[in-house]
Amino acid sequence: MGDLVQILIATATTGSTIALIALGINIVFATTRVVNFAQGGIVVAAGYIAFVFSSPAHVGMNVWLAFGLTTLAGILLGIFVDLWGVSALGGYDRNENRSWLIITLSVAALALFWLLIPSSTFTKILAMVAVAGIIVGVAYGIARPSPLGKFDPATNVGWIITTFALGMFFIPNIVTRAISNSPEKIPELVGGKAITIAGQAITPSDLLIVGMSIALLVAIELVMSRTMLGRAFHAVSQDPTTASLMGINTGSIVIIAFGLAGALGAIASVLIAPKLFVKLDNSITLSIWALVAVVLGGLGSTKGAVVGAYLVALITAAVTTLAPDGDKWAQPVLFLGLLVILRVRPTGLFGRVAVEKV
Amino acid sequence: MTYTQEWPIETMQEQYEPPLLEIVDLRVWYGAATALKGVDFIVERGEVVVIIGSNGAGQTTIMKTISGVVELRKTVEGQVLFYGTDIAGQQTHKIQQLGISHVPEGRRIFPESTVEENLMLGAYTRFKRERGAIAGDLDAIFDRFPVLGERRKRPAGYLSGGEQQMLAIGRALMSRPFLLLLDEPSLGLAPLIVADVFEIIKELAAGGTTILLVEQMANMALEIADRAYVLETGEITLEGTGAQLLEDPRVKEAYLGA
Ligand SMILES: Nc1ncnc2c1ncn2[C@@H]1O[C@H](COP(=O)(O)OP(=O)(O)O)[C@@H](O)[C@H]1O
Ligand SMILES: [Mg+2]
Repeated sequence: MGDLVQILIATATTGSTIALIALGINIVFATTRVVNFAQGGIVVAAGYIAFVFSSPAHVGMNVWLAFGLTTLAGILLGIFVDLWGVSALGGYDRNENRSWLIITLSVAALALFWLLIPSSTFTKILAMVAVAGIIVGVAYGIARPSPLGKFDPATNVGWIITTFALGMFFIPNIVTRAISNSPEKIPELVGGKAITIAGQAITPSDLLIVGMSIALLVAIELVMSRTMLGRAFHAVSQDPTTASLMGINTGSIVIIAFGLAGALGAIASVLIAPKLFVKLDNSITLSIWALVAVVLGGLGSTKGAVVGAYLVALITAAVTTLAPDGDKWAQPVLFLGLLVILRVRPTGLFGRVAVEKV
Repeated sequence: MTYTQEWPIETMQEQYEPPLLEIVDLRVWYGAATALKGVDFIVERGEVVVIIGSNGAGQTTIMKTISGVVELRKTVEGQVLFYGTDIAGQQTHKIQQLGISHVPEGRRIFPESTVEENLMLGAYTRFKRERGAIAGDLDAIFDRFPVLGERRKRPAGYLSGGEQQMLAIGRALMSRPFLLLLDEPSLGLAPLIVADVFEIIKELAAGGTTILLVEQMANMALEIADRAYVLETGEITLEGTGAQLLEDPRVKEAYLGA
């Protein structure tokens, strides 16, 4: 009984957090066909930013104010990823393709971190792989012009490298170097007594994570299905050129998507901080969870992202709690589950079935 | 001290009014290949102007260039004057906001959005300022195209080709354009449906909508044209009223299968 309650609590809290991050990935994917690998990096950066704002050793402001400012920072980081890592890549014309600039700057920045950060051989190798990857990716992007006037993720795959490098190395490295390199705590947003069920504590923070995430998911779903902005999002995701014929500024829709994704990442980060702490590893852990969630649920499907997120959390929590040495087995089991589901349903649980165009 | 000067209204009316749309020496290249070799034509307010031509003549290129669609290695020279202002090179969404509504070749409805959502998207830029009028316009569209009304909650991808064409036209009308661009509305439709579509275009024209239509179905298009042009490999080779071109032996031979 205690185990069951523990699994449920973990599924509800972690699942809600993953759902927010996954939804961010999904919204960006729907509007741009870019899988934003930088999302995890934004989550970590937001955690450290919230730490600086709220920690008495730094700014020491009210936690809720820090939360608000961190969300704003998340929006800016999301837009930064778009401007530097994605839309700047686009340009069918060699003269307009600024990939070389991004590449050069990214390489310079990464080399700097590689030299400056006292790190393990492993991270150095990762950094070198990233540098090599950026060069290859951008060279590829330059060599194959996009068939669209603007950035086309299908033929210009530089985005894989840039979002990955920005999210896994660039943003977290800057933030950890500037703020702190070790796990940190953020004060909890809500205090109060925990309720105990079957020997397992449910804290007010747990309830806040779940409540706020669900409220946000519902709010976003309502905006997407009921408002003109939501319709514009759907239009851009289906056919950007025709969307612009409707008078929709597709560029600003994409920026809103990245900003919203950044905000969701930041909110998730602050909400989950009491459980996971704020640390560099979260960039990879949360990215993997969220990416598995969207792929499992079906890229582009909101329902899929949410269901996928809770499923990922459930599998992870169940294996961790029930199996001996569960920590070690959680990820292998998760990936096995992913492979099985994709084998049966290649488009994920709720992947879109394309409506025939006549 | 301030004073206001009354404009002499009579002189205003006598002033030169530019045509709604004037294309001046339009040249377009895709990479090194020339698609348009210096095209000139005019669309006056209230007119139905038709450009006929065979596949690959450059009709779609003209339409996309007017509405500012950017494409691979496309270079544009020349002027697209809308109310006398050169709009060439402006962004597509800004050109739409000026009052040019483009029904693209192949209809390009949003297949996953419902019929009603498609129509609402047509009114996207009016939504902020004229929200009140949109519901009425939607009803007007459903009156004119009853099939769309019956299927308003269905994903547009489930409509037949003819219904999708009605939807694409209805969607364009939802922006209350000053100029409607129709790119081969007959494409891929059964002859009976094509007749329906042309009937609708005729009704729109009778209602005062200014239309620029490009078509390969020369016969039907010329019948509804006030004026028409023949486009051959990127150049305009003939022009006249619809009736004149219908009688022209060169047109008859090349486009009317006579
Ligand atoms: N995006 C493009 N890239 C390269 N060539 C193109 C492109 N679009 C059209 N063309 C070429 O330009 C010419 C005119 O095309 P288009 O305007 O689509 O013709 P139409 O609509 O009259 O059939 C054709 O030779 C076509 O192959
Ligand atoms: Mg064409």
